[in-house]
Amino acid sequence: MSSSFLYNVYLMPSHDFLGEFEHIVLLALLRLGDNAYGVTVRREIESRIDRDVSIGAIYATLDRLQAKGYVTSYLGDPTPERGGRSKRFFRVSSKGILAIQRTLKAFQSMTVGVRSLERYCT
Amino acid sequence: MSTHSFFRPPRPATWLLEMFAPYDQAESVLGDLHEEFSTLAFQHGPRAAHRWYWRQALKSVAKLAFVSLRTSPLSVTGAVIVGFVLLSFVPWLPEHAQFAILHLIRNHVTPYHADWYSYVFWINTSILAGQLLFCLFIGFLVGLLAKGSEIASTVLLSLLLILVTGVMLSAAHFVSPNLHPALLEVQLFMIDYPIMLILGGGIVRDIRLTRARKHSQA
Repeated sequence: MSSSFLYNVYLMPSHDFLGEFEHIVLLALLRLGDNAYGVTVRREIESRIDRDVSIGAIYATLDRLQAKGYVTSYLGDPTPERGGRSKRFFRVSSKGILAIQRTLKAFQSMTVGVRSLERYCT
Repeated sequence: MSTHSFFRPPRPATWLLEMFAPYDQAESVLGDLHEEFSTLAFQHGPRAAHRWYWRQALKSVAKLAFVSLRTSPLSVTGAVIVGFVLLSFVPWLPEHAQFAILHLIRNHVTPYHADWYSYVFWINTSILAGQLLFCLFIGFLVGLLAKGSEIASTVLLSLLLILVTGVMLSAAHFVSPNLHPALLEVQLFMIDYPIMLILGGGIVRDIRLTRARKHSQA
């Protein structure tokens, strides 16, 4: 039994809903398209929801999402402004898009009819 | 000279991240931080960029250490168990070795009768040094076994050691409150052992990072 198998079993969700930050990161990846890597994801989250997140938190979440199969990644070319280091680009997989849709639907279903929330939403 | 080559991120913070980040993520994490550092240094000055970089590094270390522990749970657990078992030999194994060496010196190499104080000094110093070296060796071994999470696993082992020693000290204090002087000595060892364990893991990590860098350059 390999450790990666155990890791995936550990990460396998009992229900396929995303956590709050996982959801935010996946939406940021979708917004950024082909230019989604650590720096742009961090800036996108910071500018859209005014949340100061560390690069470590983003990579920890992306690592978890990748292990679940919601995200794929590939290495770009090294550039001088990065000290000669390469970028790791991320892309949402079809499984990841399904997970986003499922979570959004669940939120919408739970929100409909809750009057105290509708007042803030409209 | 371009701004990118002029402003360099603080080396200790970079080193800290290199020590804790998983191998496959270290390059992209450090590259991202370098890129943002360069932009910040150009826009707000190097001091603000340094502050930002340090804050990012300190906030990211725990998260990245957790990722490296999570990616290889079997090797980390095995390494920590082996390390913990070996730690139980620390109080007596180096002591026996030191006594054997000193006994040999006293009886066969330099017979002495009058230099009792130097004998006691060497006994005390060498036992402590031997125990610390043995801890360094255990940290080194744990680092070798837990490939990819050398520092995280030695930190985990150190926390386990502190926890177990703390529980034992509390229990001893509860049973017999008069044991204070001896307990204080054990508490001092509690500080030394984890430092040496993490240092051992750090040496392995550093060797592996240097090798990986040479390999990528080639």
